[in-house]
Amino acid sequence: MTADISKNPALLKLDLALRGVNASAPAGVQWLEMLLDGEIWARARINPDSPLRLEHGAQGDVIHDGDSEVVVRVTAPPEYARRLTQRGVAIGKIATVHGAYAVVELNGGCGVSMPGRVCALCRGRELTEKPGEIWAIQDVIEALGAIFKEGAAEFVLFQLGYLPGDDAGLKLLLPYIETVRRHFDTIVAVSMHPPADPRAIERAYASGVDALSYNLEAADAESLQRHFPGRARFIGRNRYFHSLSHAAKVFPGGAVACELTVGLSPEEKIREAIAELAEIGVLPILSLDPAGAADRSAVEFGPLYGYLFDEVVKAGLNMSWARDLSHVITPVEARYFVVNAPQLPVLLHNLARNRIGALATRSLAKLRRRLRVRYVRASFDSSRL
Amino acid sequence: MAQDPFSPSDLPPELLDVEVDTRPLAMVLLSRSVRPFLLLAGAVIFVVILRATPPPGLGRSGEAALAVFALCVVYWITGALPLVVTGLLAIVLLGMCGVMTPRAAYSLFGSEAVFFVLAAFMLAAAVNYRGLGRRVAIIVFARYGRTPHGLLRAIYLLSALMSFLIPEHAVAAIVFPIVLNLVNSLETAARRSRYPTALFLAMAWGTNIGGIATLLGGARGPLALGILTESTGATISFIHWSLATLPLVALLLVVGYFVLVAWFADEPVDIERSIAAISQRRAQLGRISFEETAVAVVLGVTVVAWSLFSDKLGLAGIAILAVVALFVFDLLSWQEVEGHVNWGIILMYGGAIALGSALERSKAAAFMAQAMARHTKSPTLLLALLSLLAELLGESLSHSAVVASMVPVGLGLAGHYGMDVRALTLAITLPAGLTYIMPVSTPANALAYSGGYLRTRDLIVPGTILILASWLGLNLMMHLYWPLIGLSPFSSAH
Repeated sequence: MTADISKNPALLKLDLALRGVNASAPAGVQWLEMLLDGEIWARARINPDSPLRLEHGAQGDVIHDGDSEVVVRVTAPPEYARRLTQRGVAIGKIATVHGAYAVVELNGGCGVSMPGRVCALCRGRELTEKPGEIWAIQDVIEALGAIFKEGAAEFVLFQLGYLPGDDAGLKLLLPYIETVRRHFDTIVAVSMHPPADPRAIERAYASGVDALSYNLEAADAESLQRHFPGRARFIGRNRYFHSLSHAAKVFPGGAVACELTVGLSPEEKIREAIAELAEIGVLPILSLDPAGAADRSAVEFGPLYGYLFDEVVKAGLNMSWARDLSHVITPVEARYFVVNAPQLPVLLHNLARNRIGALATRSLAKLRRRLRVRYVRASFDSSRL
Repeated sequence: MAQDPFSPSDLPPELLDVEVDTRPLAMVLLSRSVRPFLLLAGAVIFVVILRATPPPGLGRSGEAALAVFALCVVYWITGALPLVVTGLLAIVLLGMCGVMTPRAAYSLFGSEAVFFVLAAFMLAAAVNYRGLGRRVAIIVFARYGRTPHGLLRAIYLLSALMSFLIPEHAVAAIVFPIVLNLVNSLETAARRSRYPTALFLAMAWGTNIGGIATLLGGARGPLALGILTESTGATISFIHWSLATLPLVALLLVVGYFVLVAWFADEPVDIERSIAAISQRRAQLGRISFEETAVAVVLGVTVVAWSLFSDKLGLAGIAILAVVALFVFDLLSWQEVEGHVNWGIILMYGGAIALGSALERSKAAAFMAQAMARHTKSPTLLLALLSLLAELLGESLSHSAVVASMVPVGLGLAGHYGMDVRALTLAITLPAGLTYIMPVSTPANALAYSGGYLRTRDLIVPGTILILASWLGLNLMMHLYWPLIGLSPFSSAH
């Protein structure tokens, strides 16, 4: 592994997540999304104290760190963000773009790394509080339409906060999924809490969800209790693993992911969780909590990310579903932390990224769903005779 | 763990309907792509038999009937075409191949059995829509389901008893949502135990065992009766059918309960939340309405009339009069009938009955019987094998398909060995309805699986025990008990 950010884009991504970037940005802008070498999406908060300086030069956008400099491509402020839907809702409020994903947060979303806050359930004290904003389907479709038209994103990610019910809110989400499916030929990913009723996982897949994540974030039970008392109390770590294991059997290989946040748990516990997840067919992905890791440098985390890549390769998981995410390091990006990383996963990943590969991925996902999903009603009708 | 905030939610029924086939994709692909080959195989068999020189003892029309029968058996057993469509195809082909005139073939739609099934579904619709079934279930569960085993017994026995009076699919449709609600109300630890499996199985097994008790439990009974009557002129009265089946039902209910407890309810569980949920629903019921009382009265009078007057008035006649009474008292609307009755069944039964009749009239059934008899000289062994085959086929096929395929052959064998055609009809029809493992075999099993707690591999050992108990119990009854009620398999009195 090289410790030079100009040669290791994953290290730069990690460094940006850890220290942010010193850049001049329009008022109100707190985060920058950028594309690094190797088609790696990164997200950096604006931090005037960061040693990583972003400047616009003749070569384009350049990040300076001491003597090193790296050319990056910062995404331009999107046009759609300034527009309103027909019903007068700002599109920028409904959906934001992270990497290649248009992210729609229903009920406020939940998670340390992406929404930057956890939901009422995670806090554990305010279960009766009013739900967050739940956008009208019409507005969501309009917003996504505008984002896709501008070419700002390729995929859709629904982020769901706590909602009551055995299905953890799937009932509310399904009409959105079905409508998005009708309007756009895209990959639909969902990030939510694991449901008490495992059948909700089947329903999610049948309704058109392509990729699913139940983000544990805190790798071990003690950290879960400390950082997310509500999750520990009302869901429990076991349900995460139980649901993830079940989902891994229902969804295509590698399409079920679990985010672990570096900085929330001891590194050893994160390693154990990575191995545990990979073993049950779930793709571990690593985000970073800058507050929890402030006293360390990005290079120090290198072996952990290398371990992530090795474990996923060992488990034979498909790495191409988790891609183009700016707020986490995916297993395929973690290859930069490994010496002589095997090239097959990278090749497959690159195949899935190009236009034909993406079309093939979507078509195969549809075919797989068509083959695998059955309706009990069909058995019922048949047996009634 | 604290109280789960993910409290049970009322999902729309269509969302409870999905299952994902998690077998290796190659196997899924293979099972999905086999259909064209099955369709072709059926057609090839049909053409080969039709174009062959008729063997001695079989005329041209008998051979054509055999060709149609072979085609239908392939499609019914493999499910290459919907059962209904195959039934319609049978009627058309019988006319086209000259087995009988099209007019004669279509006229068999008017079988009494078809109208009996139709009326039975309408009665079940009234029980369902007026809320009588739900009320009875909730009251029984609230009264007797105070302990884990008590609740299990209540679900098991009530499902069985209700299946005496209304078709299995209607019982399952009434009981399933209540069981689902009870399971969803269980504490998380209890939900992760095997107890929910036991509750869903109690519903399914109770319904299936109870469903053979009378002609009302499943439509396969009337179908078999229709084929028997149209083919041989013999019949079985409502009361005679039940007299023949009730001891077997009692035996299987006992065995089934012990298997349920031994396999799935052997650990202590806390059902306090379920008791609270059912008590709450009991409180919400309020007083019994006029409609519920009136439906109960109509149903009660109908069952008494079937028991006493079916010889004079006919099963279908009494059933249709009961339906008329429901409409007279505004206890049922036509819209509700349309929503509840499976009209496909009427079409499928018309086809199956016509095919059975054609096999008998063209002597094709006798020909098949003779061919089979060459391999088995012992009628006792033959009866045992036929009942076992019906039991095993019933696990994975539609019961009606099993009855439609096997009863005509069985009737031919009965003629060959000089056996009582009624006993043989029962020997095939009863085991076809006693299914315990597979989800496709009965509506109760399909619904129980949709609860999400049942896995086929968990049911193999207990289900096999029940299959064997059913088969042995039936054969014991056939030889020891049925002769006492005038149904000796080895006497051709009828």
